[in-house]
Amino acid sequence: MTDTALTPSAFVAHEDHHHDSHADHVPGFFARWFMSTNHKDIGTMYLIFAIIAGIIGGSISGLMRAELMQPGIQYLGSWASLLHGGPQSLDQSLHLWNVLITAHGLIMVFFMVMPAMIGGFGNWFVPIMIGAPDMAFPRMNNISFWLLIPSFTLLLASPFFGGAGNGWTLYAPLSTYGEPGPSTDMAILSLHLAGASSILGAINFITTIFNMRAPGMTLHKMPLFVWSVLVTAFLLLLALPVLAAAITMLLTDRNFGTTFFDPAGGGDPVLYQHLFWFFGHPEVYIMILPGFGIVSQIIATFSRKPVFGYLGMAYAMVAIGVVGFVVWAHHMFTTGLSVNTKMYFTAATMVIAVPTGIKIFSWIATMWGGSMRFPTPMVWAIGFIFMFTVGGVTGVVLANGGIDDYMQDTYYVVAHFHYVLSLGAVFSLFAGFYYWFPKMSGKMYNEFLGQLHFWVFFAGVNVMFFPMHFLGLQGMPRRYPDYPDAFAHWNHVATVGYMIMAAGMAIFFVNLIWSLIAGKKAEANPWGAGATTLEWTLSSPPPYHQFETLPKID
Amino acid sequence: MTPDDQDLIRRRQASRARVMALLLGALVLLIFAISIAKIQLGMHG
Repeated sequence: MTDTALTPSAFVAHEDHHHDSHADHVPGFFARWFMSTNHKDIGTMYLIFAIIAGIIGGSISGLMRAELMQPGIQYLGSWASLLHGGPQSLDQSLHLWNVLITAHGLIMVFFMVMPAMIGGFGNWFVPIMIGAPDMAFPRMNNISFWLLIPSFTLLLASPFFGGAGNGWTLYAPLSTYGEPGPSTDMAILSLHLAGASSILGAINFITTIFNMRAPGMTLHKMPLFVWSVLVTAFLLLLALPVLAAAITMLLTDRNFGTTFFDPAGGGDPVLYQHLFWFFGHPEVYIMILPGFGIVSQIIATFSRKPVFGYLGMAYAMVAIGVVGFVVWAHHMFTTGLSVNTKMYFTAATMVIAVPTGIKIFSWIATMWGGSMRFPTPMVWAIGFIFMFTVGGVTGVVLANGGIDDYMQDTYYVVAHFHYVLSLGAVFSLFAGFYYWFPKMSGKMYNEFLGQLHFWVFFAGVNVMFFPMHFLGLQGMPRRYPDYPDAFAHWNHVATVGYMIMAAGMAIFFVNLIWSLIAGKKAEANPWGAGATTLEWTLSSPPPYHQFETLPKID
Repeated sequence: MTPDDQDLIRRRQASRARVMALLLGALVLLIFAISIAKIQLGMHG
C-alpha cells in the first residue's frame, strides 16, 4: 500500500507545485460542465446528482413513515388525488404505496448510493490515488454520467403514467401481466440506462486501475479505496449484464408475447427471481465495498498507522466479491427450494462472515495502539463499523433457511438491510464526504456542525430502524401501508426516529452551505502525518490537470 | 524520466487500455447473450 511505501522525501518530490505548472487550462462553463471529460468535474457532478436523488428518495421515505405513524390509511388517498388529479379509489391509493416503496428502493440503490460511491468518490480519487492524470476513457466517463439523467427522468416520470408498483426487484408476474400501462416499461428502461451507465463506468475503472498506474504503483501498493473500486467494478461487470438480460425478457414478455416468466407458455416466474438475485446480491456488495475502502483510508489516517493487515484487507474484499456470486438464493428461501439447496445457500452465506470479520477486526487492530484523533470523518467511520456489524449479525440470523421461513418479508429484513445500507453505506458516504470535502472544495467544513450532524443522525436512524427488529419478530410484514394496533407503538417510535434523522440532514445541509461560503481555506493536507495517499500531496482543490509529470512511487 | 519516456509510457497505457476495454465489452455482451440463450434452451428442454 502506498501508505507504507511513501517516505517523507517522496512527499516533497510530489508536492503540488511540481505538478501544477500548465495545469489550469479550464474550459468555459458550458464546455466544462456539459461536455466534461475531467474526472474531478464528472465526480463532482455525480456527487451533486446523488445528493439530489438522495433528497428525493429520502423524502419518499418521509412520506412512508408519515403514513405508517398510526394504524389506518391517513394520507395515501389525498396524495393519490394530488398526483393523478381528482378523487381516487382505495385500490388506487393503495397502489400509490407500492409506487412509493418501488421508487424509494430504486432511487436509493441506483441513483444515490451507486453514483455517490463509485461515480462520485471513485471518479474523484481513483485516478489521483494511482498517480494518473485522468480516467483511461474520459469521454466514456462523460457518457456514463449523462446516461443517468434520462434514466432518472424516466423513473421520476413513471408515477404520472399510473406508477410502477412492483418493488425494486420487479418480480414477475406482477411486472409482466400484473401491471399493464407504460409505467413499468419506463422503470425497466430506466434500469437499462442506469445499467449501461454503470457497465461503461466499470470498464473505465478496470482499465484505468490496470493500465494507468504511475511507475512504481504496483497492485499491492494501491490504497485500499482503489482496491475496493476495482473489486466493485468487476462485480458490476459480471452482474449487470444478467440484470439487463432479465429485464429485457420482462420487456419482451410485457410487449412482444414471449413467455419467459409465464407458466402458461412454459416459462417460470421463479426463474426471474434467480436471475434478479444473481445480480441483486452482488449489488449489495457493489454498494458497500467502496464504503469499506473509504473507511479503511479514514481509520488509517486518524490512527496515524498503516492499515493493519493490508493484504488481508485487500483479498478479503476479493473474497467477499467472489463468494457474493454464489449465495443469491438466500433471498429466495420461501420459493420452494429443496432442503439440500437451502442448506448449501445457508452455509455459503455464512462463509461471507469470515472475510467480513477479517475486515472488522483489522479496522479495530488498526486503531489499537494508534495515535487516534476523532474529527468528523473518524466518528462517521467508527459509526459505520458499529452499525454495519449490527446489520451483519442480523444477516447471519437471516442466512439460516429455517429461520428465514419465519422472517421472510417481515420488518426484521427491512431492519437488517437498512442497518447494512442506510446505516452502513450512508455512514461511509458521509465519512468519505467529510474526509475529502477539504480536498474537493478547498474549504474546511465546520467541525462542530459535522459532529452535531453525526450524533443527531446516529440517534435518528437507530430510533427509526432498531424498533423494526421488534416489529419483524412480532410478524409485521413489509410493503403494507396499514397494520393492526398491536404494531402501533414501535411504528410511532420509528417515525419519530425519521424526524430526528431529518433534523440531522438539515444540519448537514447547513454545514455544507456554510462551509462552501465561509469555510476556512483548506491546506493541501489538513489531516497531518496519517494521510499518506497521493491526493494529499496535491493542492486543495487539486489543479485542473494533475500529474502532467508522471509521479514515481518509491 | 525524459518527456519522450513519459510519452512512450502514456502511449503504451492508452493502447493497452483500448484492448482491455474491448475485451471487457465483449465479455459483457457474452454474459448478456448467455443469460437469454440458456434460458430459451431451458424453456424448451
